[in-house]
Amino acid sequence: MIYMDNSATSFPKPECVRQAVFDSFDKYYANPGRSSHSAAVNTAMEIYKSREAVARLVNTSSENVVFTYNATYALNSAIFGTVGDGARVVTSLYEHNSVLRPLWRLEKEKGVKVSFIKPCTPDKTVTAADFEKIVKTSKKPEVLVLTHTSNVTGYKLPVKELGEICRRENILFILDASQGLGTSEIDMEELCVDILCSSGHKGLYGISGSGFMAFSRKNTLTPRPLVLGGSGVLSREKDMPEALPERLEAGTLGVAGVLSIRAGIEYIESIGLQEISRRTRSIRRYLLEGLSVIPSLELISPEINADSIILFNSKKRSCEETAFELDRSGVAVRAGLHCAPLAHELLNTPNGAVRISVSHFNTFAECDEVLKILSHMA
Amino acid sequence: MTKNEAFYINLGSMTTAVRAKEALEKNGYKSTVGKTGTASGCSWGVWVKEATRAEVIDFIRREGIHV
Repeated sequence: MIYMDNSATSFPKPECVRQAVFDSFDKYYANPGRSSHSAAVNTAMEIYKSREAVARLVNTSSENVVFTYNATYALNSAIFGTVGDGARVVTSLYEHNSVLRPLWRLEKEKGVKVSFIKPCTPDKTVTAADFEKIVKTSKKPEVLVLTHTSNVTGYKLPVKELGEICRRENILFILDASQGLGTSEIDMEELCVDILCSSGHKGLYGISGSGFMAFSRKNTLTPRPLVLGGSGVLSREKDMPEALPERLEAGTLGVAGVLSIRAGIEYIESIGLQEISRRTRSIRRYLLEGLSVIPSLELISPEINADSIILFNSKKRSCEETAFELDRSGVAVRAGLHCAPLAHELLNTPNGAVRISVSHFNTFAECDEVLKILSHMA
Repeated sequence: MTKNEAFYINLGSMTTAVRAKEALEKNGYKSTVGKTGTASGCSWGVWVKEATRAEVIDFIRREGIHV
């Protein structure tokens, strides 16, 4: 199998991630934060080291790292936990349904007003000027929810510019970093991000069922918890503890997932983020050049400065048929709307497209094989 | 209290207690995470030995941890 569906979840995982998961069976089996025996404390120490690893990666403090079960859970916690009734929220057309659906629910039930930054450029990119237009209206937004990198095209949004506007205008900034972390440098302080949400199993090489939210160093928010339950502390209180991370971590943590995130981050640190990014981009560029000379294919947004994603369609087959044929030839890609329906509307691909998403584990030989299969398929 | 007696410092959450333990260990203190019953249910802290309470509390505060 040639695996090129890394934006869905990364494969293969580094050996150290596999070992971290086994360690959760053999060494760190006790429940962290409940009992105080040595085995439980040992697990708690490992969980804390995982918080430190995430904090190092995104530049925040370790207590501000909240582990969740995926990016969707993190984004739901961030959105439902901070957006008040009737609030004005801005987002982009590139968002995943894990942002769109919570916002639409709030729009329907809580009178939240959701507006979209409308790209005015021919290449459909978002600009700070487009956001400024919304900010300068009489009804200034209170919250911006934005993806760092489109999961459809790989387009990197101007996060820093928009973040600086948020900081200046006192707008809460929630960033979905699921597609950028692991290949892009994401510094919460530099990007003026208040809450960062991410999965752990994509660019960070953790296992599925892992994710987190990170609050900025200067966080003063006490979000309303999405889920309530045991916290291992203040058990007679009728509400969750005020302090992070316990406030948002009701119930037993997924230890294997948490440890896998740390192992993944340490793997990235051992190779270097820039080297991983360079390698991934060179694989993508090689593939893109090969795809661009196959006449039966239409590349969508090929000019986008992406790290790992290529979006295309066959002129002769539906995206699902193309993905099916690729699968029959041993190549894993993803077809459809990629849970981002508005992005496909914007790109004029209402019936979806085929997404190739490579990682630094892919090889040029694999690219040659994929190009050969697609040429013959035509 | 002598330096040989272990003492407990209540810190609130488990994460804070683990953070304090890690900082204490890095600086040569002998400590372990512990849990205690409180009026509001339970709370986490650190057991420390071979040090004085005053110096440990001072150290923990300098680490930015509320005691």
